[in-house]
Amino acid sequence: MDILSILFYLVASVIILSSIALIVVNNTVHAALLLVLIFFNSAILWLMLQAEFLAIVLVLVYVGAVLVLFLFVIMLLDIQVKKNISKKMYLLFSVFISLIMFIELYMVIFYHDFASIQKEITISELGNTYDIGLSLFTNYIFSFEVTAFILLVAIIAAIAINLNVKQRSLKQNPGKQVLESKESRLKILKDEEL
Amino acid sequence: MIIQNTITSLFHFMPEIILSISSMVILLIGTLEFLKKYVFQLTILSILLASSFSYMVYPETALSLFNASIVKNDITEFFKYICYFIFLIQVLISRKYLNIRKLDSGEFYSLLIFALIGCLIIISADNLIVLFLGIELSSLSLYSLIALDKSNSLSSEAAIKYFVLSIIASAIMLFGFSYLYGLTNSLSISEIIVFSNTNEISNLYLFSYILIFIGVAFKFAVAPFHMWLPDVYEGSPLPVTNFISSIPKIAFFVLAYKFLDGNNIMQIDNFHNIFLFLGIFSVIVGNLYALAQKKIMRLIAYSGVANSGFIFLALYAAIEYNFSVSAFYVASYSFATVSLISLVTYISSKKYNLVYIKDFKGLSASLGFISVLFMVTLLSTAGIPLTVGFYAKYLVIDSLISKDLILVATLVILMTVVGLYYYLRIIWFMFFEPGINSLVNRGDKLSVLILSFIPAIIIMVFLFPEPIFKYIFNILT
Repeated sequence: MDILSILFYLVASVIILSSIALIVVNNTVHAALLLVLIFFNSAILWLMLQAEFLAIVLVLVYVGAVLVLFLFVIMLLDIQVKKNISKKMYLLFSVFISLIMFIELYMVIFYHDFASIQKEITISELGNTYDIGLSLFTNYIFSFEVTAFILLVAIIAAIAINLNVKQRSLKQNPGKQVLESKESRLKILKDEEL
Repeated sequence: MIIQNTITSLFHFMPEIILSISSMVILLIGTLEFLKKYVFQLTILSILLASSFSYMVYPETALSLFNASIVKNDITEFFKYICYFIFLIQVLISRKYLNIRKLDSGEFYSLLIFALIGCLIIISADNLIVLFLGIELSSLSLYSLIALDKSNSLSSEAAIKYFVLSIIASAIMLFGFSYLYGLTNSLSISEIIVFSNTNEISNLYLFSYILIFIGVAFKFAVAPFHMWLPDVYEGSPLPVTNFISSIPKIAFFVLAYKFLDGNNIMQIDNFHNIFLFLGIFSVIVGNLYALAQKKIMRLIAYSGVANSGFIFLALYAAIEYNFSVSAFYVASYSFATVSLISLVTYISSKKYNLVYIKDFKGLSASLGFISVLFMVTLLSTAGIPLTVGFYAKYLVIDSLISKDLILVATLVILMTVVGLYYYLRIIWFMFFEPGINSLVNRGDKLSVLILSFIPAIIIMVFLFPEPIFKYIFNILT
């Protein structure tokens, strides 16, 4: 067994164990930190496959941005850690179902001959950042643009759902103020009409 | 070369581009105080523009755009036209409903158009990545549309339920996609089908197909995967329910067709029988649960479960009949359900919520013509002659009998008879029970005209079914 396979088994077992722990732990902060661990180890897996760009992006975007935000939200929400939630029936049932799923997956996947469908991966001299950029903007330009739309929808949705339209304060609405004209507020009455 | 290809693709993809640009414009206009009221008109205009453009760039032969990400052929264009038509009617009907509940903002219409674009992408995708992105685009818009009604506590419950369950279904589907890619070394759906015909179908191929069709069954709300449907139908604003009930189902039918058409996997009994079992189960569950419902939207939801079961039975019988039966069923069902929910929306637009079935009592006294329209569409969903629903159900049962499944056909007919009870009860309430509500019919003539379109189509297609059925048969073979 060479050093790479030892590293692979180490990383893979850390990922699997921390994924299980992520589901089992009660404390949300611990769960988020375990997710950080999973992402770091996945990044190591990417590096072992010579995909350094994906590894760096995984760490930078997920660990650096998404999960830090996650932790912020969790800490701001002040969730109480509940203990001893007895859901033995649920647990029994879910373990049973997932055991069946696991056996099925094992039968299907591990007896399949993946060696026959290996594909040659060619990495250009300029590194895979160049390759990814090139294929994103040529072959997969459509998928790339649709992804942009999905992000736009996510932004619209987040703002539209959270914007509180109920007016509790005496805030001013500049749009309405600009639209007001002199005629709508002032009425000039001649002397004779009085 | 690639740039050239992309530019010609952009030209052929014009309808969707128009829709996406207009949705962003609508979003901008919705924020401006003095242009806010034109949001609705712009939505209508953009759909009309998109559908007329899609007529202008109608492909003479099958086209493959954006480096085989998107296909355009007769099938995709046919279903896209149905989507445009249904969407137009939904938007036209829902204006007053949204106005009363203060939901007619720019973001509502723009998210609705984004959901439509997602469904159009699902219909025309030929690439697993694009397909998944289309699914996500449409469902992400729908989650937020459901949650947008902040005054209704049911709607946030519905949004969370739909979000969590739909995410799990998408994840299962993506799992299937990833194994398909690993197995066939290709993202293109047509190449995946070619792979099944040239190689022996392995267990892994079968397994990934099962995972994908779990996702499809979830979106169709077929019986074991139907739990989300009644709550979502009840909780979301009616125009959104109207959208969920029809357009994603059409899109996912086209997805199922793409994965199954010309695929040797339909020869394998273990896979093929899944459709039969899901179909029977959901016809039984849908009809029996619908009997016990007190609220109209939950009733429509369970009748939708039963009808999705029919679609799966039609997919089961699809080998000789070449999917035309199921396509006909999907089209006729989606027209009928859109008409039903639009009518409920119209009646609910008058500051009077039509929630319970007993609210229908004496409806014909105040809204006579609307009750007649309601009766026609109810009979179409039940499958009674003089409506197109009869042909749809008849063809499914006929194809079941031609496969020597007499017992299943009998069971399905019995369940349809059970279903007749709750449809006829509404009709009885409308026409023969004394009214307890006093609805004043302040005729909104344009809405009534729009509402009578679909019932008119339902009766017309019953009288002259041949051209439309021949057209569907031709494009699907």
